[in-house]
Amino acid sequence: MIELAIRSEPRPSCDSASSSVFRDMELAVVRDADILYERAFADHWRDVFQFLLAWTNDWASAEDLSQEAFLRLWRSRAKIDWGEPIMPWLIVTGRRLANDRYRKIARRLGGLPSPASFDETQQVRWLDVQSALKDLSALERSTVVLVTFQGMSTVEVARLLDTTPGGVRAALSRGREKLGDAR
Amino acid sequence: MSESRHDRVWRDWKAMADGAGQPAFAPRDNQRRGGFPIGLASAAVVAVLIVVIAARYWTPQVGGVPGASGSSQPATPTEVATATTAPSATSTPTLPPTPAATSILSGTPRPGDEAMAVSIATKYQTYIKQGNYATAWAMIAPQWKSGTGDGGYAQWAANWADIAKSRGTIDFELQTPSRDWQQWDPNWPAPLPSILPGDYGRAFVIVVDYPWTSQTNDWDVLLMLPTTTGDVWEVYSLR
Repeated sequence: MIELAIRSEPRPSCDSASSSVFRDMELAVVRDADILYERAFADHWRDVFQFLLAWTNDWASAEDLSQEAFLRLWRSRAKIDWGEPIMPWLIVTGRRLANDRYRKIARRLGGLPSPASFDETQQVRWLDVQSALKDLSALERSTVVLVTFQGMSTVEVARLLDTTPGGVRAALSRGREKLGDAR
Repeated sequence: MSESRHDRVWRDWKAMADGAGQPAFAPRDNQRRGGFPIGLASAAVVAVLIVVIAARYWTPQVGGVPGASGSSQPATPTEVATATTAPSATSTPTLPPTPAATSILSGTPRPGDEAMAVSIATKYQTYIKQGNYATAWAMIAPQWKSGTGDGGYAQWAANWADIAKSRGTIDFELQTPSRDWQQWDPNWPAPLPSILPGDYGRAFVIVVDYPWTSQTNDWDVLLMLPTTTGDVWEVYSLR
């Protein structure tokens, strides 16, 4: 685990040469964490966005929350254990941000704009999909994404979403039932 | 073989989701939270508790509360999150510059308000830790409990019970009370009096840290806000 203490002045008990060495080491660790952060963004943004899109069933919220989750990762980069997979951290952070009641209300009152990239056809298509999924719970939607599309096990998903593997399987089943398995 | 509606909807969803444009740059800011008492990388879960203490819940004659596991941290200097707004330029020398926007709550707390905020936050979190969800729920402002449409006590308590089951215990650490609304989140939406009514002059923000596991980063926000009459302090669990 990389532990980093950012200090604005040299340690008072060291001579100037030692202080300089410590400072160089600290700066090196910061640079490593910056690189790891960028790599995490490149590797995981899409999965995080898709999880949040399923969790919130709202495109603009998912974009907003994805950026916020990565911003929090940026701020925590010096404390993160980069030796461990970073997706769980991002998923849990994103979920907590999405569940933030005050933010939810403020977003609703403030009114997030529609995605700027959507043309009219895409907007209609998205509204259809969103409408079809609106009767599923956040858990029921996100289990499909995490298990079916992102290949996680029910155990992994249970840990991320604060439920049990049985709860994950039940959510998958309920989601299928609600949408209709009829062909 | 024809496709089920379930598969069709998700196929459509996936096609649209895959088409989302990834931002060109990863978000960054230059803000560092100084004085953050949690030193371990694995322990950092920060919850901002703005604790609105209900005087009617927390008068001395209220039943004894077991010792809290969490303890307030000594005051440490922290960076103040401010929204930077340049002073407006003016050609009239006599006009004062426009003050920069600030996330510091205006007004002056009364003596003892800060200590009360810590005490209430400790009690609230202790009740949750002990599984006494009903008592903790009773500390939350009535209008907050009813106004957000989140399923009420049953869902709230069930969420905590699930967390306790998966985590083993809901340990917490209180951070230093703050008057900075955006101390731990510069993007926190500004207080909305329409949904959080009260005397912000006396409100406090207290960060609560949940050291779950090494790979989670979680926090809570409680707003402790006296009513405008000042008679009653109420707890708003914002997260």
